[in-house]
Amino acid sequence: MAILEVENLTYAYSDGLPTARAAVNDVSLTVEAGSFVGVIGHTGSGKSTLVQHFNGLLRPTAGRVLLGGKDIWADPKKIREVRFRVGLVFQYPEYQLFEDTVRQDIAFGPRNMGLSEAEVAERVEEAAAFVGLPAALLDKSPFDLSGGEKRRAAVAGVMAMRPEVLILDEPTAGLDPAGQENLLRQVKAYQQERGCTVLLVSHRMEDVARVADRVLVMHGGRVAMYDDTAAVFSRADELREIGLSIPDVTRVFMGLRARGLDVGENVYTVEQAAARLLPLLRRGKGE
Amino acid sequence: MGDTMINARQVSFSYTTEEIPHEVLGGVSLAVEKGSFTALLGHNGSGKSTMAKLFNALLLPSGGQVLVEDMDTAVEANKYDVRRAVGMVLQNPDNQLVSTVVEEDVAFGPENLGVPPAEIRERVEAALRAVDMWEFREHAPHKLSGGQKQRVAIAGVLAMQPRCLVLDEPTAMLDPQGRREVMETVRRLNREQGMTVVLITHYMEEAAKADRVVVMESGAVVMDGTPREVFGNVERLRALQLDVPQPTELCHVLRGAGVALPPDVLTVDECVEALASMME
Amino acid sequence: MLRDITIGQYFPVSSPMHRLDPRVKMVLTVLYIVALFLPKTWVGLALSVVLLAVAYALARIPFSMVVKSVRPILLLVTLTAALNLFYNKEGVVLFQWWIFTVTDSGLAKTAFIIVRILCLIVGSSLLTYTTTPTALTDAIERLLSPLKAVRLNVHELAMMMTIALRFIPTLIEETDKIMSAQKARGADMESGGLVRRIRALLPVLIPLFASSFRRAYELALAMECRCYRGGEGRTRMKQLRMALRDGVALLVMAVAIALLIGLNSVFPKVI
Repeated sequence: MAILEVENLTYAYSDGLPTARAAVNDVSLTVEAGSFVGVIGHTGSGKSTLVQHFNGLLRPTAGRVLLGGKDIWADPKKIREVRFRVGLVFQYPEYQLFEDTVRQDIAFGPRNMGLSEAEVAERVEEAAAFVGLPAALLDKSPFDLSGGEKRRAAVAGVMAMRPEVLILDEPTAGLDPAGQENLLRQVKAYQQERGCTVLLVSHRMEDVARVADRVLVMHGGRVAMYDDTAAVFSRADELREIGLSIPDVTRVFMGLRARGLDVGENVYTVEQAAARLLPLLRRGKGE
Repeated sequence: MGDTMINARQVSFSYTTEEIPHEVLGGVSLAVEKGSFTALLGHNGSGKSTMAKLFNALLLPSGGQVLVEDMDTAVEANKYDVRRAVGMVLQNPDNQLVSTVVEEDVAFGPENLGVPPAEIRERVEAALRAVDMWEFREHAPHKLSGGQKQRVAIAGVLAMQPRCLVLDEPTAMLDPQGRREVMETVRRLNREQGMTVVLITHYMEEAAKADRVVVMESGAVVMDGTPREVFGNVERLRALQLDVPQPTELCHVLRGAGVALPPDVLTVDECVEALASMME
Repeated sequence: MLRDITIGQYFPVSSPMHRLDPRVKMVLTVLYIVALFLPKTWVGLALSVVLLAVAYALARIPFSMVVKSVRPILLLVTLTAALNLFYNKEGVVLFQWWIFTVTDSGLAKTAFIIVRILCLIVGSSLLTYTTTPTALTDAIERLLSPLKAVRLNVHELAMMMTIALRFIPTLIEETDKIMSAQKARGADMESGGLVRRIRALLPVLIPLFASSFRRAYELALAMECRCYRGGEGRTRMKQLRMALRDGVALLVMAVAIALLIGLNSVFPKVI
């Protein structure tokens, strides 16, 4: 079942002027409920602009966005409700923390929804647990946390609204490798446990390859590819052509194929690569 | 000592908040050779950024000594000479540009040093050309991309004619395109102008391009060697919560399964070569 | 897009007015404002209008920009005009109703004053149309530098202006981003009374302040790395040099001022 449908969406900056340019140009796509979609594309490809339409932060110049089959702009007064159903975590979200304590900050979203204090408290605990924030940190000031902890608190603030669709824009940018790994794992676990839909915007293909079941590639404001992860990464040459960096192991496999070795395609993690290569290498040795 | 750019001897650093002392560095010794390209790795809080700030007298050691071209950074009279010798580029490109015009920003350093106007012009042009931003000299910094801004920041440091560049996670906030631009610029400066480079990063692909990789953990140097030596030790890096370049990791996994691959594979090409030679 | 905003109202074309030394342009602007109060005759006033029209023509600024610069002060002009009109009791009464009286000399004086105010606004706009904020800052630093004698730190003042100009676009962009992020968490900034709206701004203002402090700290660090130590011993890459056209411009202004004074004794006075 489709949760999000985008129909011929176009968004132009400074509309009406001769300098107007479309940041998103006639995009149509469908996101299935419960799927994990990776959104990739280089800076200026329109990927961030596109996802800001999904919770009504931006209003399309032309076209429609349907959430659960209904146009989100059917009643502009109800756009806040759309934002509770489609949670968006911005890039460097730690800079939006403002409350006295981490607990209060995570509660900001749920409180805006008008939930009872008991319900708010429960959601805060749940969200903090999802991102692995220990209870001891919840009563601290968000400004006293480390960079990685702040990031997780900010992500929890959106998770606590229990959105049907969770969108994360470059959630791992600027974190160290351990922090990146942890956050991705937590988001994946969250998605599987809550059965919700997740869109992960990233320019780290390695990340997308690990967690997404579908990948949307944006280029020049249009959809360049939108398919299963395996199918998208099998077109590694095209991805490189539009200026995206592909995982090193995928490049190793491209190199091997170029040497005429039949190693197959669709490899983008070290585990996959090892699993594919081991039988081939063992066979080679046996002969 | 003539070939040593920076010499840190038994350097310790600690600070006190609310009367609780925190030790960041505990007696680190590290010498950086002139003309070398050193990558400093470590997860957040390992002390690597503190180390960088000690290199140009932004911080002074609590114990031990930091010598920059034999000048003690702790001597007040040396402060500006140290900062001229060791230029520093910070993580956020937005927060290190001072002026509303690119060329005026690059001129900021030499202006502070009291360089004559005509020479400032020459230095600004040379610096902007070195980072390939000359055509943008009249642009406003806030309209540039992240990678371009960071290159302007590098030019601003180059215009002071330093012998060494210390870059504190200069690519952490950039997209892959910007990261590539900055890395190419830094490598070119090292190779073509013999600039000593200390690059603090947590991207292993970037560290793999250095001549030397130093890994820090809890305020101490725990690994030090060529990229091959350091990345060959996959288990150790993993224990330190650091990534390993994918080709290295792939060969490591395969070796663990009994495939006789060399232990020092670093790049995609080497990995292809090693695997192909086994399969053909 | 927000990052495309520009501070001030610089109109980027190439013209002799744009190329004038910014210091000269500032002095000319001040002189022109003073000169506007000299004419007391219609002919003198016409001369100051002609002077301005020629300057605009030389600067290649379209008429629509002139209108734009006047628009925000129309209310003020109307108010001043009304006050002048009704408080003037001299001369022949043209119209009378309740406490309002309009006389012929009142009408003439009001018209005179309106033209004068408009010239004032349009004249000072010409400075900002033809000079970048950076050049203005530079001019201010150099024009005020004699004030160093009275312990005014002119360099620091100019540095502050430069940094403000540099960071205003960055902070506007950031404000926009934080607002979007809080809206995404259901913040309601568009409804409720005044108190509620101000409270609703806290989630934007607090992060904005926190981030400004962080930026300020990092900028100070970067400036230290680049050996900044105040204005002492500092040189400047860009040297302002007066050219022939600067001399000509000042001369024209001097002649105009002399004429404006002279005309007062030749023609009948309006004011």
